[in-house]
Amino acid sequence: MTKVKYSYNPKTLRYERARFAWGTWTLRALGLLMVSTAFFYGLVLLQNHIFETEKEKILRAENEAFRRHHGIVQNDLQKAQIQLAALSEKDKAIYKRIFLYDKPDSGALQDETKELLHADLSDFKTIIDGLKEKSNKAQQKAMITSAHFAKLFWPGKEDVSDLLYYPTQIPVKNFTPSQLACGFGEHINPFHKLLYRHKGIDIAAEKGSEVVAAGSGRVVSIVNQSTPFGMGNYVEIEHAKGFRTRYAHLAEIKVSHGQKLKQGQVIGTVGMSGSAIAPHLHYEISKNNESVDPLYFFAEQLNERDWLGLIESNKKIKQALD
Amino acid sequence: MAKILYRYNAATCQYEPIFLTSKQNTKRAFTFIGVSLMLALAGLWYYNAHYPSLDEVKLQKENQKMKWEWEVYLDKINELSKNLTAIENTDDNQYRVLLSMTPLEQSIRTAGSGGHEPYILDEKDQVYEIKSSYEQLYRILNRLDVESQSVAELEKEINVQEKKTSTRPAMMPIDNRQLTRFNSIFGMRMHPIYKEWRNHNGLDLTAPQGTPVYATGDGIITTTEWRGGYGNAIFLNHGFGFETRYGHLSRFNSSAGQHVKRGDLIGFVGSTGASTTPHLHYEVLYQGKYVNPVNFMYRDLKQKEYNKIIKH
Repeated sequence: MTKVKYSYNPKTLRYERARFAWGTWTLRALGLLMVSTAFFYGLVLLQNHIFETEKEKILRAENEAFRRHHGIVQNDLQKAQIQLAALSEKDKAIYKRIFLYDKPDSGALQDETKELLHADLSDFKTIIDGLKEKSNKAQQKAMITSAHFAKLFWPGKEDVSDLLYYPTQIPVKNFTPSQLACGFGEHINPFHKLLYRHKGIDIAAEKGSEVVAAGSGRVVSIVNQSTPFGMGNYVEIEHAKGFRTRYAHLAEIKVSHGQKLKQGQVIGTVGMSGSAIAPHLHYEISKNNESVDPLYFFAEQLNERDWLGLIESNKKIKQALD
Repeated sequence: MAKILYRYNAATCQYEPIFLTSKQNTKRAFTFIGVSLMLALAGLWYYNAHYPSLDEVKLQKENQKMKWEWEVYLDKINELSKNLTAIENTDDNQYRVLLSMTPLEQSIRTAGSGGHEPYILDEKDQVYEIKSSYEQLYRILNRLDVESQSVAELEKEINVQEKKTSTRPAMMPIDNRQLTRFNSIFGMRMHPIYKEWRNHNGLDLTAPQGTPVYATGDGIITTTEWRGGYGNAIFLNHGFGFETRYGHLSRFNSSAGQHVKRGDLIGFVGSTGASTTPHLHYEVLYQGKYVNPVNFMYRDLKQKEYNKIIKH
């Protein structure tokens, strides 16, 4: 029997050799593909239903664990947040009771960057404008400071050698800006809580930490007073160019009258002799018997940001430690 | 409709239509199913080799979502810890230094005596996010308790300090504007009445009869009576070793046993006792010894500031 197939052509009224049926075969192939796809899906589902892979097991357990614990952690977290908020309120109250002014916000700078990151495009302009204004202000401030500085320090040619004798050393070791409890100028007296002229700065430090000479010079006065009023035990040093420095409320004095000192030499330890309400160093600088703000002399040893921060924070009225 | 196909039958010399027998049909169907199954299996093999299972995808998605959620918790915990550290630092480095209290030991802070037990996780719950959340939270809760205790201690100490500063004599007992003469001699001097060298234990503030005299610090009035040379005298005990005395008064505006605040009007200037002219004899004693009142007067205080403190 031959394999040749014929089909009847009604137009020619003849049996003609059947041509290869592309359409039929395509349909068949498509059908095959569809059915096998269906089978494939069925198999995948079946497999998924019956077998559990190692990874699935781990993930399932992990998700279960997450679900079980998320309530507890949320609860604990909330508890901690509430407690912290209460604590933070108390902390602010304490700060105010001790320093008599509001606690500065430490996170201010960070918030600004965050704000910038989360800002819409339209917000950018306002933020950038704000920054511009701030930078202008900062620049002005810098100019004022630099003018202050020039007034204090601008040396004549013949004075250059004297610069070495200026009291530029910070009189406590490892000074950090937060140690400045009260600056120079009008501040609150710790006893009667009224404004008075604070002729020096108060550097809070632990009792017994070392006090060093701000510049080389000669000890001109040593006073020992054990009574809890006045400056307590203090040392006064005479430097070049009419500068004098005074270190008050010391616990211990380690130099003697008339002794010549080098810059940075230890002269005593921090205490609270005299009318101090806390252990601190009351530090004064005077030029030709006129008190000047010692902060301006700290610039050499602090980085710009810390120093400007100090100058800025000193504008606030604070409580002196006397 | 598929065309009917024919086959030429040489025996009958005829074109005969091709019909499939049922056997042939089943055979064809089986081949079809078999082939498609083979294809499906091949597909499955390929799928398993290259793709995760359906449940895995679903679980993974869920897992990722929850992990993000926990990431947020961890972030929050981290922030909490940072804020707490800031508070702890001001406590140790500022408050405790200023209040002359010893800073808390780091070991107390980290170990925590708060009484929160570490959360013991089951074997199956040992997932990194959960574990570290609990560990950190447990530490934070303990640190919070320690810091709360510390804050309570600070508050107690501040109360003492505030009492100490508010009781200390720290102002002029009479208004500078009423002052006509300030005799700053403290120590040996020729006594104007007894005409001999005597120790002058206080300072003399000359002012018109009836000028108000203010308590210079908080305290309890111990005496309001005639005391020999003092004349009408007020003795005011401030505690913490301090006492102030006000002599030669014309009148009292307070009585013994009364609690007074700094700036309270307690009496009026007069010339009672050993006195030649109306004035206030003002003494400050520390631990029973006379000390120079000038240290407690703050004479350079501005009038505006002084007015804030006095009460009529």
